[in-house]
Amino acid sequence: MWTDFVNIWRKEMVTTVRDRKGMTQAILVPLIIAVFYASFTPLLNKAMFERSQKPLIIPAKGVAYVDSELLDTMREFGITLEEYEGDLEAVIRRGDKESGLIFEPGFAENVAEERPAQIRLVTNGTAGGIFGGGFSDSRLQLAVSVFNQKAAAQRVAVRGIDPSALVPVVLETEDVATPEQEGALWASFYLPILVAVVLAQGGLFVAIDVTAGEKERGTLDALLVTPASDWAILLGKMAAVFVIGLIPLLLSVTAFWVVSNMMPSVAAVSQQGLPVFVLWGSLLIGIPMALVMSVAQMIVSVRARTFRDAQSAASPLVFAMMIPGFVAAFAPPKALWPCLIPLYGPFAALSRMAQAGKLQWDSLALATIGSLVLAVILMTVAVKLFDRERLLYGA
Amino acid sequence: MRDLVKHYGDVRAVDGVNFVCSDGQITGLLGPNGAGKTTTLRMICGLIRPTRGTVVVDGHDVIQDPASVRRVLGVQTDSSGVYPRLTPREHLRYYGAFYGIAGDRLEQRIQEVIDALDMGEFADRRAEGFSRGQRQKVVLGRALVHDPKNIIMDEPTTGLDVMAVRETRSMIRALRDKGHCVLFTTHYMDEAARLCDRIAVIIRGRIAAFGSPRQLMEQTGRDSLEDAFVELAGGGEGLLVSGDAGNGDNDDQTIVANGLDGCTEDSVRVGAAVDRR
Repeated sequence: MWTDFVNIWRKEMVTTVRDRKGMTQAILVPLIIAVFYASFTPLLNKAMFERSQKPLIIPAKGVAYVDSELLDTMREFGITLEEYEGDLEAVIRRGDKESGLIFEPGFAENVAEERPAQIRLVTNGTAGGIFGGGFSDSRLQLAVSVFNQKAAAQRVAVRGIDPSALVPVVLETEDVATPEQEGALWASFYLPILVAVVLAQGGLFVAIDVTAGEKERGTLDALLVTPASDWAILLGKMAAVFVIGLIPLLLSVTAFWVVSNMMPSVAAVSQQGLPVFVLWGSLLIGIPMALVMSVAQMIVSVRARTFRDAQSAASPLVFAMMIPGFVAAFAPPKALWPCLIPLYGPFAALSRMAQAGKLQWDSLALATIGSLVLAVILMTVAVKLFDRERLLYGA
Repeated sequence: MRDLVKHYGDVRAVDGVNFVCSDGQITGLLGPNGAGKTTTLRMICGLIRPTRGTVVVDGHDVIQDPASVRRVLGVQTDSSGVYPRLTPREHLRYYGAFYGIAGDRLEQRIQEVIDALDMGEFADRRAEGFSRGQRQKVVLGRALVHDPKNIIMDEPTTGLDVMAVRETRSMIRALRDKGHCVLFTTHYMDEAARLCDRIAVIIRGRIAAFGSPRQLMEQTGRDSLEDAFVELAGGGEGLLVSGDAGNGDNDDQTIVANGLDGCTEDSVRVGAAVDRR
């Protein structure tokens, strides 16, 4: 049986590796997904950071009425007011400008005489499209708040009151996250999804090719009339699906790690980059998961008559893998035991490890046990389903 | 084959087939489409489990030990499918390894098959884009690579051009002359008449007649095998064989006409002498 197993495995590996189209897809697609996931958050952070540093020029009506101290404070925050000639409100309504400030006559006098001085901020949230972001008023709010604090402090100081009396409660924030935790934080969200997507698709084309593909090509009969045992045929093909399925996993996780750490412009804003333990953790939970998927893919493919049938039948498998990945990404468990749950457990373990900022052998062990138990159960089902007569005539 | 039966629900695909294929003879299995030829061949190979009855090949019972039966068989299936990303030599290496042949012995045998089937020109080219004839040679080669004593061929010349048909027929004769037991199916009556030492006509899952081409023609009163076959297949009337017709040694076996419905286990006794080697 061992010789037949190796013979079948070797042949499936050779024919798969020679399938340039299939292999290109198997390699390129996970790489693209990994690069996208790895660079999305850092690039988004970078864009937001750059935007926050960019001088903010706000069109305004009545700049001449503004208190000079307020203008100075705004400048400290990179805000410049630019007098707009024309109907500012109408322009903003049309969406030609995102926002504008309107100062009424007597604004500076009201401030000086300690009367409420009103600024109207007119914005159009739809300007700039769905990702245009409209106008973010946080910098403006901060500038006004700082000006208000300064002005209030001056006013109470004049009256002989300690300005600190204006601040009854002080909230001090201290982030105690380790550099590893900071580096892995965003990976705890993206990595489970990446691993789920890659595993769901990884060896699928091989599973279909070595089963339904054989039927379509008319080569299955010839294999089944050889003395090779059912086990040898099934395991030989399954081993090829497993090994080929590992390639996209290995490439994508490595690419995710490399992109996260090696692109200077990206790494600069991802704080600490991605710790290497995340790479090992992903591979360690991914390998048993790849085994589960290769058996599951064989089960659905072996009963299909055609390539297309097999592709349709395999669709639920993609969801079966991706839904637990998404659940773990959005709601990572605090407890250890969920790591034992097949399909969900490995993603939970990955998410927990990323959050903890280190490899957790207990999480890994439970996730591996859960996956191996499921793989054995599925393997038993696969062997029962692997009936030569049923294979020839379809399900 | 002993009382070979295969039912799919109410459908009786094969319904009590008995006959013997002997070494050094070419036995043709003829029948119209859907008569049960391929199902019978698949039961012989152990691909389909009979509802009843069994097949014994070189002393190995297909029910009890299908792997041993497959080990002594070389099967050319009805499909000419090949692996497009393997060369013919790699095909032969792959299939040969299943029969315990390895190393230099396997390579030597592969070269013999390549030479015998005149595959030298394309032996090391990937099979993608091969003509039907080239694919058929690969299919035949993989059935012969382990030099099996017993060879089964399902419509080996279908779709081939004249030259390829002649080559294939020559190969089949050569195998017979070397003492191999050859069982093959065909829809070409002239081919059956030229090649077969014995013919089993299967109609609606039952053996309607068994004998040499000459015997079938004589007993139906027709002067061609095609007419004899049509006579056997048509109108619900057919020939049944009685006597020890299946041992391959007796040319004087009796062929009697009978209604197909009467083609029972008892009346079709062509398989009475199973593999006396």
